[in-house]
Amino acid sequence: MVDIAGILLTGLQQGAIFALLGLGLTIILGTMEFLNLAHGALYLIGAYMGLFIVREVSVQEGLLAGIAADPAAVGLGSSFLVALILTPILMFVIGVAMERFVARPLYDRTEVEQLLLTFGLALIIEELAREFVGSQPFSSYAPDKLLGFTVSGQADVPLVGLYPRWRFVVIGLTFLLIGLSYLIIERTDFGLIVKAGTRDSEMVRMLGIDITRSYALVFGVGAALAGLAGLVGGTIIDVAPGIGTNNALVPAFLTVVIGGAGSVVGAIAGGIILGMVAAVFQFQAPQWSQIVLFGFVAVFLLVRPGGLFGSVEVGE
Amino acid sequence: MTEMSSILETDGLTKRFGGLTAVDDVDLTVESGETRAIIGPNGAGKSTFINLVTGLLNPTEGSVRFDGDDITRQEPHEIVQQGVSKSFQTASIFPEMTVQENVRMAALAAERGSFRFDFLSRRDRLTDVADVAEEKMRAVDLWSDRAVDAQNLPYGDKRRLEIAIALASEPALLFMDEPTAGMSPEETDATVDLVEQVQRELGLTIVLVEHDMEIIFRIADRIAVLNRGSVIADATPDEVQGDPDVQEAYLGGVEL
Amino acid sequence: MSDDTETDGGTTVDVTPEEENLVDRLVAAKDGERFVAVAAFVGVFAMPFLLIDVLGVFDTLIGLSLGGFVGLPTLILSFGIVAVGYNILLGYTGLLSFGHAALFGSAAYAAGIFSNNVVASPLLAVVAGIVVATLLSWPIGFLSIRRSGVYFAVLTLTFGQMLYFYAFGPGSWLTNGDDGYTPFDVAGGPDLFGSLAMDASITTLFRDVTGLTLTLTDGLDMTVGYMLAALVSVLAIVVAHRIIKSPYGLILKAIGQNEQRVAFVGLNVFRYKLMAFILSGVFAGAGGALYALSKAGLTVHPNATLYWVVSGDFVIITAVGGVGSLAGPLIGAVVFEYIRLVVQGITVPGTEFQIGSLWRLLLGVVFVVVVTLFPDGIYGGLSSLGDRLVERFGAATDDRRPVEEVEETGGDD
Repeated sequence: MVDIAGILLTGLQQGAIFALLGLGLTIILGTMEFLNLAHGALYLIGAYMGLFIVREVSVQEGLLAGIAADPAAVGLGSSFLVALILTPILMFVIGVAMERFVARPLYDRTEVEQLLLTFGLALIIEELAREFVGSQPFSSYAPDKLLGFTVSGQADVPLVGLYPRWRFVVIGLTFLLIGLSYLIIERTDFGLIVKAGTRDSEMVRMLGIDITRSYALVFGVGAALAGLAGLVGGTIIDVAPGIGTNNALVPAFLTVVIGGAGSVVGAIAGGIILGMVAAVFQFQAPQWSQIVLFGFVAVFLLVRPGGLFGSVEVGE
Repeated sequence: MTEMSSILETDGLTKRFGGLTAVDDVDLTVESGETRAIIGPNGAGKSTFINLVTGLLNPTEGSVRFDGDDITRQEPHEIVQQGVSKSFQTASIFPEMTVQENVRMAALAAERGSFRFDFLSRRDRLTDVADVAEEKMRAVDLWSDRAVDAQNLPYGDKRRLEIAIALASEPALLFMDEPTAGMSPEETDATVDLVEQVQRELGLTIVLVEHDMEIIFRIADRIAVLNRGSVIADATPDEVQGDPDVQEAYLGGVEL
Repeated sequence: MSDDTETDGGTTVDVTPEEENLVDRLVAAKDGERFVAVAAFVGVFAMPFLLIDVLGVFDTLIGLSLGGFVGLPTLILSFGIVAVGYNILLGYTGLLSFGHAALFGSAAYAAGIFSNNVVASPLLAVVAGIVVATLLSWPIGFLSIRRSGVYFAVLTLTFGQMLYFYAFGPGSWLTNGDDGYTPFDVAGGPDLFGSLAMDASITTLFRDVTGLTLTLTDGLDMTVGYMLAALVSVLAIVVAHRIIKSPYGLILKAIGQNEQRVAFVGLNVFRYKLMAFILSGVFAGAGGALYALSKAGLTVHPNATLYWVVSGDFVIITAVGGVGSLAGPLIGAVVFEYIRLVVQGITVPGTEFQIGSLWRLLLGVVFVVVVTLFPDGIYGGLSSLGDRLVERFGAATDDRRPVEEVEETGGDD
């Protein structure tokens, strides 16, 4: 009994982060048909941002260790809330810059070239991180208190037993963010562009007027979502350069595969499903968990190529 | 009842996309050696019809028979190997290959079938392929440009290359989807002459989709008129010209 | 214009005999199979000399340790062979696979396991590696090719990762998992034909046969192991060249440019794509087996062979070297392995600054710069430079419109 509930909760928590990642990827994919393999790198940047805002950490490797005034205490040591506000803003700016300098020159190039170049960019960003702060993992930075409430330690929940408090916060927070994103997409003009794009990107492009501004917006939001996913992820897993690809890029793409390219609902559903499946196998057969997870996705890709709600024809 | 000389026959061919019926119960026959035209206003279903016959789409209902064989569910490449070829409306060529290579691609397939394990045999020894390719390039007057990259050809030449490729498949039946679109009057005349000549020399059956009525009246033996997915007229050019249904379908459009 | 033409695998050179000069004849000749074989042979046997000795000169002259180490050429060949085959898939057919580490790695493990359990013969181990990789590439290709574009890439990645995690975890009874597997774990090292030790160098052999001592530089004193790798490489290059000159070369290139049209001339695109995948698997298998050979007595680890990063390395090598050409991937392998293994140790003269771990960053930058500026890679860039020189110095006239290079574009070398 306890196990199942624990699995469900963990699945939900992981799935929500995947959903955020998939959401950011899918709106860019849907609106601009742009394949961004550097999406995981944005998660990475968000995670490191969170780390250096929330904590003061000891940096022993990399450039920062050399140039910091006090290598044993690098960072702002501020609060998680501050990070929650700052990170998406900074990531948005990064996203807009990325659209302007990376994506825009590539819109007319072939799919393979987009994949290759964003892959190269992802590599560079990961290596830059390694150069600045080294490859040592920094432990996750979940705060002890949030808005006055204690969020550390374990809570004794009926029917579930002991479960880490912070994970409940994560679930709540990520679902809040997902809900917000969904509302924005459903209710605002920006959202109209995204929806129109995910249904017919040709049309969006032909609608003219400030379409480049819309693209920048979409990319900025996508990057902000990835960064937020990284911020939240960094409170659960250790932060190291490799998490960009392993913990972010691959799940992001798998989420979009399951949910369907260009579909907002699909990204959310796909993320949750992926998170659940991963959680189940992690508990049942840890040795085989990764294998079965990948196998599950492979089967899904073969059987339902468009994903659950897919609308964009990418690689069909 | 089918006549023995019908090279192509569709029977109740229908295609629905969700709520939209693009092709509606079309019965069409094409006699061997004739030049058949399919006309109709935009959105009438002409392209969908061709895509159904050439295997790009599977029909919702109905069947297609070519030379007596049922090709309804066959893959495009199988249908081409049976003897049905298509020249595309927008020149669908291989841009970074030379004219010669473009045409040889089709000749390769015609001479060697849809698949072979010949990855270790030298293709510069395939004289039959080279000969067929040369023949078709000369036919469309692109022989002197054979070493030019296809993407560097002017538009009219690309269209001619497109036709050469379609011919190099050595088809019995050739679909031509608006072959003269975007051509100058001289090029159009040359293309029509080519089509007539090719048909004479090779005994080719041609199904033509066109908007240019002059051409149709010049070379078509029979015309099928499509509107909203159905055949509203199917007769000789003179009969079609006088048909009130056809005139109504083209209301405000092309003058026949 | 004279109609005196020569055909050469699809190229036509419209020249009248009197106008042809040496430059034109060289250009036409370099497509020939004999030329490729000779050039490959010379190249692989000259490479150690160039990399170790010639570049090593800088170490003594100005203290810049640019020279390669003795094991470097073998690694270059291992990865280079994989890249040559990978190029058939990416450069010609246009399929971007992120799963070739699975084929490379499984061949490496297969060769190693074969050597330890069946017979410690290097030649047979190479065959074993190729067989396993080829067999594996059939189902992976068959399933992955059902989708295209990024979905194809994701599928190959997932199959690759499945294999990686299997080797790391449940399959460690076979692979030794995280501890790594030792191929050719035989006393005294593996030997060829039962008598020639793989690590015997030319000088030792010479001494054994004649009793005399020959002095050779590090680069020229090749081991038997390297010579085996070199011969396998030459064979691989010749085979690749043959494939490119076969109908497949044209068909795969056409698929990469306009897949639908290929179907509409009557070719079974799926089967040709699958063949391209399997053929690339053969090369990956050869490279993987050679890699295992180079690790005889040492360890083969999943992270260095089966992990998706290795797949990414193949992509980088091929893209940087030059897609769509034969020499390109080989150049890419040289550049890649050089940066990976040699650049790390370079200390900027006069300073204490060692490049060290910056190499991956440097690699990433080189990759992005090359792919952005030279879509045809380093070789493509050199090739168009060469084309322009030929135009300038060759005598063949071509007054067709537009001025067109008579060589097949995209590199048919």
